[in-house]
Amino acid sequence: MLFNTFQFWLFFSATLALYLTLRREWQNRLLLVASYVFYGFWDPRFLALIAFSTVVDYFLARKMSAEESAGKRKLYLWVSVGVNLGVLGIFKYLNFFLASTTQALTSLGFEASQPTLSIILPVGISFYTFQTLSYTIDVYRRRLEPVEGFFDFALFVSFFPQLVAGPIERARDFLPQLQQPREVTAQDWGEGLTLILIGLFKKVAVADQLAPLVDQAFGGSAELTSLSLLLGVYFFAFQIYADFSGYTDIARGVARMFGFRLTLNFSQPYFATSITEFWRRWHISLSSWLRDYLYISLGGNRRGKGRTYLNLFATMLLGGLWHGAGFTFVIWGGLHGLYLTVHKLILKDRPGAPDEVGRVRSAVAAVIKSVALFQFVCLAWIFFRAQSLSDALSYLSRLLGVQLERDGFRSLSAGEVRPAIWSVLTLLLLVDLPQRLSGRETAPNHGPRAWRIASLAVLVLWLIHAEPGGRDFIYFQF
Amino acid sequence: MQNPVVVTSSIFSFETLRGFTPSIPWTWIGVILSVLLVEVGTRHLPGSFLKRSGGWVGELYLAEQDVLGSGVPEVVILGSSTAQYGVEPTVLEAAWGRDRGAVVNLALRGGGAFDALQVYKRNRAQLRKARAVVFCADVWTFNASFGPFQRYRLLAPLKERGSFASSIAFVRSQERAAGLEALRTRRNSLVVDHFFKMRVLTPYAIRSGTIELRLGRQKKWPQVGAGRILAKRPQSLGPERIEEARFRSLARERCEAFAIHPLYVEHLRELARLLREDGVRLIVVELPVRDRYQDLLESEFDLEVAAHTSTLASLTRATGTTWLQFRRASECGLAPEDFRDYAHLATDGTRKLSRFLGEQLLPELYPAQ
Repeated sequence: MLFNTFQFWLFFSATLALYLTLRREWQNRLLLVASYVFYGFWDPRFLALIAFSTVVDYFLARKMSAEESAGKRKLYLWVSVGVNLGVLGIFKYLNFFLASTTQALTSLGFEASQPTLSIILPVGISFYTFQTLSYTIDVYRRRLEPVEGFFDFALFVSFFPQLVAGPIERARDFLPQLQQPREVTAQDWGEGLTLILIGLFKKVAVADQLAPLVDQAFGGSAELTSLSLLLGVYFFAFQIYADFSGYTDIARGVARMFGFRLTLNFSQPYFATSITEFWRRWHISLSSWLRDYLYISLGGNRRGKGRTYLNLFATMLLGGLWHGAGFTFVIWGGLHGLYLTVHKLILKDRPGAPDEVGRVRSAVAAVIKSVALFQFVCLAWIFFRAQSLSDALSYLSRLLGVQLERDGFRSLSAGEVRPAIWSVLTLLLLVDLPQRLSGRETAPNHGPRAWRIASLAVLVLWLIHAEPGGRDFIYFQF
Repeated sequence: MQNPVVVTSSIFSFETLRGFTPSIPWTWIGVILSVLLVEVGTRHLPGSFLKRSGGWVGELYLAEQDVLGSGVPEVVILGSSTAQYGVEPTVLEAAWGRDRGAVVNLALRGGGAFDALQVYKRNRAQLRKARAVVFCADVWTFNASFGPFQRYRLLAPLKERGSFASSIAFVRSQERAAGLEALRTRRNSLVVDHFFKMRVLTPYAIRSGTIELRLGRQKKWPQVGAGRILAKRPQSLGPERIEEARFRSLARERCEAFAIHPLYVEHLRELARLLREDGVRLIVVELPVRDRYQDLLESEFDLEVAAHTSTLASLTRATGTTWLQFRRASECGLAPEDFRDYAHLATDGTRKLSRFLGEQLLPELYPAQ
């Protein structure tokens, strides 16, 4: 059930209408049932997996909390980590590791045939696994008391608006919202609706519009000019941003209409002026998860400069692997790890709040820095989007090889490129820039009424002009 | 005094809405009104503002306003770009000894039975006085997977849009699933198009606006002339660089996932019915394409060509319509050099084919001559 389908909005409206009539305890039960129905729509078999993960982590966290012995507490933690990562490993990485091992053995001269298992990747598994892991680790670190009610915990794991593509919620932020009385105000609905509209615009009018052009560019067979290939990767940068942040905007808007506030996941990342700032603005719930549970666990910056850089690099490498079982993702993560390390080494960026980091002396310098940074981010996107390492390298060589139209190479159709550029400009000028300047995520719906009406109407008009139906969200596959 | 006993349900309550103070959402009302304003505005754009060659909808207005105008033709040519490029009204008029304006070519790019029906319906007052309508069919005319184009998106009745995907049977079953999915998506688009005609019209309006303001590239040749819409660039500039090697992909584009669409067939049947009512004769003609292309169609898409042929045969039989088949160029005295590409004729080819058609249609239209 995709957010950009009629089916979902019918389901959401029915759930919301019933939800508003119920007492809080029953509201939570309703949301749990709705979440399982929502998830079961993809494949009912996946429900067993999410239920298993829920049961294991609920009971292990309670045991861990009640236990005084540090050794036993650690044991429970490792069981939880082992079970969660084991499930993730089997469903997401087994084939990748089997293939890599076979390849390594073959290259060493051994004869090895590759066993391939037909495993379906359960949608959203990486997201809810990280969510439950954060819960047990927080309980282990005594930063969180284990939740009393099993069904409340089950809802924390499966809350449908953010179940399949985040944001990755922390138990300490979400569970109190389940346990406290909830009130929905007209402002919540207004802001929720605005977020939903922004999200739908990003997904339907930007991401889905760019998708065919990106598919053409990364299709491999077409001999496109270098300029078209450059446009292809730029378009992919905006496609993935609009697709993923669009999903989280809708998720946050839907949750808001139920009276929940979900974590901010994107904050105009392409306006960042340094790679460190970029990662404070891109997929915030994952990058902060990696920082809190991986980077800090590895020692963070407490063990000297060299170790700090190594930890940073390793964290980004694993962050890349989180996205998918493939060397392209590892290289993508590795490149970002390298950027961050070099940035820390050379520019000595001072850590602080995003606003401080993003502050530059002049607007011109900020624009130049953002544009320059965008090129590096796009370089990494080539590896992220390509089907294989060889495809990525071929793309890069064709991009840098100055392939021109006069030499018989083809350009992307101007008729398709023009509206795509307009949609990206609308996104930047009507959504991201006002958000950045005002600091409000619902910026198109703030300020003088005439501005609000005009900007929201433009977003609605873009939606109307987009083709109904639509594609899957890219991050569902992770 | 005793306290009143308040009984509350253990399940139902509106406690979540306690802090909800309803207010009139003026901003959202403003948004809806603005969107409606754009919709109403685009719906009322004059055809003269939208008419433009090279645009699917613009061509319709161009054909109606500049080609047909206020004239009352004797013979009307309808069909797709093969007819638009291939039939020169002045040559037919000369062959039949008629005055200038007796023949008009209202064929439109991508024009199928629906377009022919619409052109006739919209201009019925003038066209019902004609002697005959010549509808030029292509192999894809009834193919559900080809089209519908912008004119259908703009003009089709709601009832048709909703049932667009029903009763489709694919000639080769392996294409069925993918084809049906594409049709379902198209049906959804068609329904949305009905309520928001701006989806089709605004691109034309924007393009027209920029050209009117002289911001766009100016056209360098006339859009209409000699009773028909002229090619976007003069036909004498052909042939285009469509190599024979590309014929296969062109044929695949038109014939893969081939299914006879009952609605498309119904459109032609409806046209035949209207013409019969008005006492106008309908002649269905299949115009020739390059021999090499036709060979390819018959060898690789034999089932599809057969399905098209049998549909046309049964329809013309049922409606008592004359059906003339000229599929192979060589049979009409045309050489490969007469074509710009696989099916569209260059200037000399158009004259040759028009002369040929003039001879073939003469006994049907003017038997006394």
